[in-house]
Amino acid sequence: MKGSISMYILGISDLYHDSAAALVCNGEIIAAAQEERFTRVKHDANIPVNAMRYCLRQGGIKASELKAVVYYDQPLLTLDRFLKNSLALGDDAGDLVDHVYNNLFSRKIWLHKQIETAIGGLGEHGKLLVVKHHVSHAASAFYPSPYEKSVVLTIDGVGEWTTTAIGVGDGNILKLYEEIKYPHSIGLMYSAFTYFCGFKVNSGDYKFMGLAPYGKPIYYNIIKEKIIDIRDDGSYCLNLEYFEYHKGRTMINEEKFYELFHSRRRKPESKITQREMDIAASVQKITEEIIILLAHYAKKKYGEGIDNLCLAGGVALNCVANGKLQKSGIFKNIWIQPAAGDSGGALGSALYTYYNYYKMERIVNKADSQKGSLLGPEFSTEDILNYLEEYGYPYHLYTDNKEKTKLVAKLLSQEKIIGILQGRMEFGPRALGNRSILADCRSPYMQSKINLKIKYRESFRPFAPVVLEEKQKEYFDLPCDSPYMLKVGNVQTSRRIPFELEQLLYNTEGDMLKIVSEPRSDIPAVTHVDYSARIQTVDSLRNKELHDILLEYEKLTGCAVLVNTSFNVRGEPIVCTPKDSYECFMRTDIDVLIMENIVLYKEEQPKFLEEQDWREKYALD
Amino acid sequence: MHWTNKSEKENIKRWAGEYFTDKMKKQYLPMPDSVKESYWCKYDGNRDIVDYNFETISEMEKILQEELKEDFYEDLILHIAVAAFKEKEIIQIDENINKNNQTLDSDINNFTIPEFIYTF
Repeated sequence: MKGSISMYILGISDLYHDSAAALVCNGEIIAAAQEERFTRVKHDANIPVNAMRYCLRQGGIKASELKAVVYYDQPLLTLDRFLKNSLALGDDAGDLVDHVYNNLFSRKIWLHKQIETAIGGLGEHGKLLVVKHHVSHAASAFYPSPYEKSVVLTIDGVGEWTTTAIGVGDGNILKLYEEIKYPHSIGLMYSAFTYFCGFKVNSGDYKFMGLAPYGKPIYYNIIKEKIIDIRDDGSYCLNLEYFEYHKGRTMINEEKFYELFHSRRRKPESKITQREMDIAASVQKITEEIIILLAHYAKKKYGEGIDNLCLAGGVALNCVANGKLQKSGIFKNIWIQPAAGDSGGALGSALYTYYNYYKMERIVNKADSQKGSLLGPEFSTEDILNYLEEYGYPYHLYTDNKEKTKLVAKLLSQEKIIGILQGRMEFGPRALGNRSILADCRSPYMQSKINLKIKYRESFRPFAPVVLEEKQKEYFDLPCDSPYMLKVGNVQTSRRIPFELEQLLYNTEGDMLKIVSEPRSDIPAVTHVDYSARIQTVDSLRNKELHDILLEYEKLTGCAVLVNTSFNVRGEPIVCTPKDSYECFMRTDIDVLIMENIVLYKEEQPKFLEEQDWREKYALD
Repeated sequence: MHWTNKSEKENIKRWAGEYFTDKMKKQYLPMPDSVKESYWCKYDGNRDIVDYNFETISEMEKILQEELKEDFYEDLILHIAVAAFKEKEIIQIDENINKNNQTLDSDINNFTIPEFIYTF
């Protein structure tokens, strides 16, 4: 890619959630990675020194060869919001100032110097460029999408002043037209309820969504009546009496929530009760309702003659809502940025700079330009062998790739649980087959086994199916592909087994371990209690290795679906290197580790001793 | 406003208390309003991408004046710039670490997300 006409742009996101860097050359995505994968600190929000350096290495360039370095947020607009928020609180602003001051004044305001220091320059442009937060999100969704023209919707916690925005992308031009402003945020409301139900803000939102199918939305009316005012055009306003985040405190006003729900916040890690399940169901229903209304409004006002919608922002990771939006048919086609949260802002800011700032021509790729989101580091067989030889770990090297693929399929059919590292690491929160744990989805015990003995996480959490794209309709009723695991559909009716959730909740006194062990379909490990599934379709173009494994597995078993979950334990970032992979393999009940063409069996490995207990290393998320 | 010798952080708190009005509260922390037909706001697409650079307090004051235009910011801007430059010392230490090509993990990278508070 090097040459006099190559225009390299480095995009960066950090200091909020999930720091990341992305390198774009002439509009092509060369590399992108989250900092957490290198530092092994989940959701690492620090300056992504390692990710930036990786991107430059992958591009084969130095910082001086960059055309520009760009940041995904405008610090002075954030400062403006902070000051006006303080002003609106008056004498009550103390906690907010204490909470925000240090990070804002020592880090965010100085990010141009920090970035320059970290990579040794700011490229030919010489000054850091900063792009508005929601423009970065919108750009991350529109530019890699397969659409020439599209309506764009961004829904986030908050970025500068904006929490929700609507725009249109056309060719290389992207413009936002309307916004909903802080402190009114569906993302922050969702996080507030996540907090109330005893999960961590941000990282727990996904669990909260997974909990929703266990409950009934009995709080739907009361939340709409007391907490959020929703209009027919999808715009909304929160009753701030119920929240504290705008005061720099915890998310909610505990007393007001107590008045409404007649109970206190659930203590983290304590037993999940029917109340939390019902709250999750209610908040999920409201979130889906807002997203559908937003899409209707966007289509009506800006989408005449446009069949395409692009989505980004943290709320776009709500794959249940995404699935319902797809089914609604408001837009025929929907493309969601796989790194929809803040990490994707790094990519969006770089792409926006290339197309909007430098006004370069955009060529649309009909599949999309995200490259399967396989944009991170990769390791050669030689790299892996060097690591294994250094420590003397026994392995089997396969020179014939087909033979290895057949072996993997056979082991999976024997209900072996396999950790797999192959090709480039995924960009975004989902493991899409290159840093994954794969398993047989037909066993009714697989869900609880992987949750409790491999991932060490809550038993209620469902696993995602990866399915051959060409066989998807035999298993699921999603009316489109889902290559990035961002849409939820239902298991086909013909595959379901009658399952009385309410009765089971009563009989087991809410013991989720027993509930998830009850088969719900002929692919029980990936069928949630409401028959839903977070689907990943795989095609040979985006991930040939995984596609081949599924083909071989189907030949052996007649089933074209596997469990695909991220290769990590609870609280740990997804593995990046052979070392990370081996350590995770040895800390858990994973049976076999595959690293490129190298196979390691657990029973052949020496006893694994570590100086520090990994459970102390990774805080529970 | 009369600025004291207290830290800039305390002065921002005082400034907020002194300039607070009910109108400010309604404007920046608005509540549901049954009269409003919609909560959508027109998006200001100017300055979606801008240069971000300053080296000195006066340069910083200048970019703050471009961004923070309201009257109530008038005598705050210098103090904001001073606050930022006081904090800059932390960065200078980090620069030295980087020059020595050491890992930045334990020094520059010590910002952690509060577990139960949203990071703005």
